[in-house]
Amino acid sequence: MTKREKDAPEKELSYVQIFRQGVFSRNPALVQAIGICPIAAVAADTKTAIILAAISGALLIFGELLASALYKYIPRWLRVGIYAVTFMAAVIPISLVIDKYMPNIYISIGVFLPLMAVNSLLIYRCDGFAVKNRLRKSLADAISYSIGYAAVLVIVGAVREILGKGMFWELPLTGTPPVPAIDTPFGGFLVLAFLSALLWCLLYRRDRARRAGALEDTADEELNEEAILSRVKKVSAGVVETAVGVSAGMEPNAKDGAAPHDEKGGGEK
Amino acid sequence: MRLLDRNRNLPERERRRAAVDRGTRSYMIDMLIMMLPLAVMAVVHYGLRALGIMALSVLSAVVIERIGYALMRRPAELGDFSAVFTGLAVALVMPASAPLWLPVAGVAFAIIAVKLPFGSASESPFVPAAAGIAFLTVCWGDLLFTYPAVGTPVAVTGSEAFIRGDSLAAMLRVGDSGAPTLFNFFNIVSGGIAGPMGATCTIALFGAAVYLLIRRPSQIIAPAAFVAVCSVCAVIFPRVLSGRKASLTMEIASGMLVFAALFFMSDPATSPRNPIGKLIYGLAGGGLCMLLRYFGAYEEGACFAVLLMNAAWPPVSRAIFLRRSADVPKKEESAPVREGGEVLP
Repeated sequence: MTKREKDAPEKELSYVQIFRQGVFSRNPALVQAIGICPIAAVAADTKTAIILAAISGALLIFGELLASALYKYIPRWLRVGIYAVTFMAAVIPISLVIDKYMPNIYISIGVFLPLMAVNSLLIYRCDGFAVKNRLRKSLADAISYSIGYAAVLVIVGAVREILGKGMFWELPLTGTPPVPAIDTPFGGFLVLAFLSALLWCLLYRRDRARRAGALEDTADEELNEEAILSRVKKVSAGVVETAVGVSAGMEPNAKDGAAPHDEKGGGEK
Repeated sequence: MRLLDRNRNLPERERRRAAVDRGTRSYMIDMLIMMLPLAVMAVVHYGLRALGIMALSVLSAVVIERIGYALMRRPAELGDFSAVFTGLAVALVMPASAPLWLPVAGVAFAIIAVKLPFGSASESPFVPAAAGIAFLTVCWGDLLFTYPAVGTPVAVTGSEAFIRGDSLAAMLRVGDSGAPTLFNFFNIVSGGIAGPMGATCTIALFGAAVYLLIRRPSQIIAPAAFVAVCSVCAVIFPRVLSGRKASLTMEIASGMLVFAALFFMSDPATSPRNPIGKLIYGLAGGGLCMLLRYFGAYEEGACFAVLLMNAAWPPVSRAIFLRRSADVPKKEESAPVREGGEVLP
């Protein structure tokens, strides 16, 4: 999206590479820290997380297909507004359906459902990939990023439900006393941070093994130690800061989807 | 994570010396000496349970840190007392009637989530103990702010019923001035009112401040500025009706304000190096603390204020002092440069 990226030579990625990138090495929530707002704020139990995953997957596939087919003909300055309109047009029927068939989840998601329309994940992939690639590659990209995002959502939702409420799939568990803070957005950021650290650890190990010659070349980008460190420090400091700010202003025993939004740009929405 | 172990190319002996050279150890020992009178007063007021809570907290801190370092395959920095400091700090802000798992949970969060991911306490951008207390406030705020009345017996083990006392912080929050004849000045500052175990005795806290002033005079600037701003706020905007002097006494003596200022704001790993920077840091922290007390969700916002200042200081200092690198102490000052030439933000 920057000038640099626009002028860079197009690297043609294979389907396998696209899939690997979307789920692992460029996982949107864990590696690139985009689209973490719904995860941290609302994915507090497994059912809600699955619904959110389905919604974002549907939106992403729809958006990328449309972008790849049509939006490359629209001038760049107009595209952002068109994205907003498109995703809003997609969110409205989704939100009506959810309201009708799953009213509890609709209430608990609250404002983050319309907010999914301007989720940075969608814009990044549509504008960063789909408009520059053909339909099938865009579909593969959408599917892989959806899977990556969905995996993060479900894992975070499950962990937060087990640890934060002492339940799983809304059935109470015995033996694990709940830690109330994990239910809140603060806990969401924390679980996300540790999951991200885990993924980075695995990626780093794999990269080291690849550099040592143990694996064949998979054409994932080389992981620069500098880049990792600076990214980890920036994201984690920003995330914890936002979490502290959110917690300090929150009422105790407030459990709703209308938690305050990110106040600082520790990660984009 | 291995990535954050800057000294990993050095031989073992030099690694330990690097940790000690960094001055963390002697600083932590100073902090522990400062906490000693507070611990003594806690036992005097609340009996053996206070001792039990402190011991359990310190033990769990050390154990968790050791396990963490072993899992991270990092050489244990023997003699770096930062885990002891974290454990004792979390313990001293507990109510004496706190269930025994409460400080352990706080310490666990402090070390696992705030200290270990960054390598050690001197490399973490946040004060681990403050983060642990903040975590406990968010999770179990009602447990954390329920204090036993001073002088009434509290069971040494187990969580039997205790006689509840009103803390100053709770009184301030609801605007209850308290009967003027009920307590006098000496009673308040010697810890006669219910409150956090180690933070009620204001006399001991100021004694510890004098120790810090004598021993490390440059570190007193931020706490002094913090408490000064809080005092000014307490005088100008009193929350109780019994006069400004009473408001001042109550605000300063309540909760963990002076404690957090003295032990967390002065931490050299997270606070600025420049004295003017320290002043601004303390002033802003004090302002935030009072804002959180007056308008925040909990009756004590001091630890949140500390964490917010920890997080906000690097970019703010870059803006104020117009420099490219932040005003926080560089962690690799005493460690030689690795041959990778690693550059850290």
